[in-house]
Amino acid sequence: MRLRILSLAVALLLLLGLAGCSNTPRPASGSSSAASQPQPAASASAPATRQVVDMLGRTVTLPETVETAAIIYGVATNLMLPLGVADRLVAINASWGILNVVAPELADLDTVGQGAVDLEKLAQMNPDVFIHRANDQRTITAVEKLGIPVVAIEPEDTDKMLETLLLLGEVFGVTERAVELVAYYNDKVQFAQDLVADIPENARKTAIMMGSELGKVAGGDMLQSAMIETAGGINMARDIQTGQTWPVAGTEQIFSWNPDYIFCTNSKTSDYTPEGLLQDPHWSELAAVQGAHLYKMPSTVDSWEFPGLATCIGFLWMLNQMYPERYDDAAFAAEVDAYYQLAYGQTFSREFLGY
Amino acid sequence: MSKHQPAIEQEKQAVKNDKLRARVTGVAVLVILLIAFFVAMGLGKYNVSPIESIQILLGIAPEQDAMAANVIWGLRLPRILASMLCGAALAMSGATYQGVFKNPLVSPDFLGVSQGACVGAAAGILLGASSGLIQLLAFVGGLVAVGLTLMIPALMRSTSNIMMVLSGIIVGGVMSSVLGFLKYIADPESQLASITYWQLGSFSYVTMDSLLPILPLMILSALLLMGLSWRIDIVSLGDSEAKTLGANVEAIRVLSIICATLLTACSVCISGTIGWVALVIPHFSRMLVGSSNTRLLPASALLGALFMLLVDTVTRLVGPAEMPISILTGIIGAPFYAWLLYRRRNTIQ
Repeated sequence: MRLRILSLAVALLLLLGLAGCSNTPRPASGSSSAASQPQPAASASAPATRQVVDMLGRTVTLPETVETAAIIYGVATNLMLPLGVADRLVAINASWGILNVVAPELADLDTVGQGAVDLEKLAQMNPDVFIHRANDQRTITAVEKLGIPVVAIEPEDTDKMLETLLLLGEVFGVTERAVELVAYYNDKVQFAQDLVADIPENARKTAIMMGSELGKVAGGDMLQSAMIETAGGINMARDIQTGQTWPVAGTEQIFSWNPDYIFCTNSKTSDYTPEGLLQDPHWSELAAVQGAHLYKMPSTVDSWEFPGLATCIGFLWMLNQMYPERYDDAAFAAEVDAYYQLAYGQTFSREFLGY
Repeated sequence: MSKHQPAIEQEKQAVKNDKLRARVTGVAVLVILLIAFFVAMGLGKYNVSPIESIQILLGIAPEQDAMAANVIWGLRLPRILASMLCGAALAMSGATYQGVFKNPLVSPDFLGVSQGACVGAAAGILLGASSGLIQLLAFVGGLVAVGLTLMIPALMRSTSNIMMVLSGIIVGGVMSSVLGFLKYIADPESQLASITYWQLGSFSYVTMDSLLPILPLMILSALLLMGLSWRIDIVSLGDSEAKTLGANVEAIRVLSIICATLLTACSVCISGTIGWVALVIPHFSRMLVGSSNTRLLPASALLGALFMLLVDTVTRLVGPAEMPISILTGIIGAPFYAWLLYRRRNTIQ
């Protein structure tokens, strides 16, 4: 008898479970009405504020001047460096080559996490703004609940990357600089397109860009695919559009595409090396291998294909590789100098950059 | 007849002693847990003194620091409550499974609840669902997996424990494959990291909003299990003995499994999957209070809460950024389990 009552209770419990879970409030606008909920930290004295619209279309209230910023998303650092505002960072996710060269003071900067944020540590730093990728709603909501404004960015294709530059320029009060950089970038795109405009479709070089694992390629919806196309090449993997970064095409598919050029991503963690592939007997029949047109993307200072301003040097480098008769080494080297002069106020030798 | 009298008296005395010891242990653990709660509330990377933290918590802080209040109320409190609740839930459900299956090696994972919850959560992450929906999908995924595991023996008309264990392996295998597929199609830069983080468990992003709707279900499941506890004792005597005593073995077993599964599913949908707690804590508790489930279940709950609180506090404090919690529960849990086995090596056949 009592067992029967218990059974009934369990059945009710199951229903309750589903109802209870589905009642879970959606993380909506970030603000909350419950009494125990935190209030925005800046309520004591009301300093001057202003508003920007981030790439999720949300209106974010920021202090008049943003003096400190924290990030766990490396692309943001990469975009802040040429804007000249990287010195306002108080926390980054990880250090990499470019920081040691152009901003050595950032190389030892503290961290608030890699994949997820250490919220309490972030609260301790209390930066003026937290910049994060738009597709991580959970982190955005959690940080906003602390009362720290979050600017969401989504620099995954060329247009959005330039839009992000302008947005960050607005956030850090360096709009003029952002406009200057975007104009430079657009100028280079135009230059490259003009240079290859008269090459008929059937005379264009075919290419792919491989990811950090053998068989992974840049699909048609990736920034790296746009770089190949801007440089006058045909990305053989352009029909792969999964919304996924570096989809797996497979080595056999690469063999059947048999591209003239194979560019390899600039990653330290690749499970292959371009030198190894060039000597691999199984790869010896490929056009790219026979012509020795299989390269790792430069450079040792910054990656020319990681979302950022340097991608314009990336597609110009591809152009120089695929059509040297139209764009020779000397012209490209001059452009590299101009780029680093503009971005970081210094130039590097060809040997140092490793191209 | 009179010859047996002293033996029965002795037995009664032993039971009394056991009960007394269990009660003392329970009170002691409860006190330690309370102290641990306040210590944990006072510790963290945000620079606010332990005393001030408690003052903010109790609403008697002399000065208003809005950020400190956000940290104490918005981060530390929900997180500490969540870690205690999940630790208690996992340990209780582990103890129940071990009692019902008469097998000290089982944990809630073996009926597929964790794998199922992971599949649900991963599907939610891939669909770009809100965190509330991801929680719900994880919960449903866990229940579906256990439902499948319980269905297979029913279809085969064999409800022996070994059949249950084998069907758990089958369902777990399928779920791992589905999870592998979801991870394969996930975007490596954003979604895959979330899924992996979820799989390893973390209390970093727990909020009151995500905790409160689950709370009633957890408490009710736990209370029901307490109500079932002496019946689980009967079931663990063995099927024939239990039937002789007039117990409906099947019903008790299924009810206990459902309650224990609900507890695990609730815990998983708060924190992601966390290993080892459900396996190790019941063993440790058994060492302290004996194997009667009426004492074992509450003891496991208290010790589970304490253990998880300690581990989560360590992850909060140590290192430049937080690591997922299963890393630590594994590093502490596995050697601890080995030590427990060593202590009990003579009683384990």
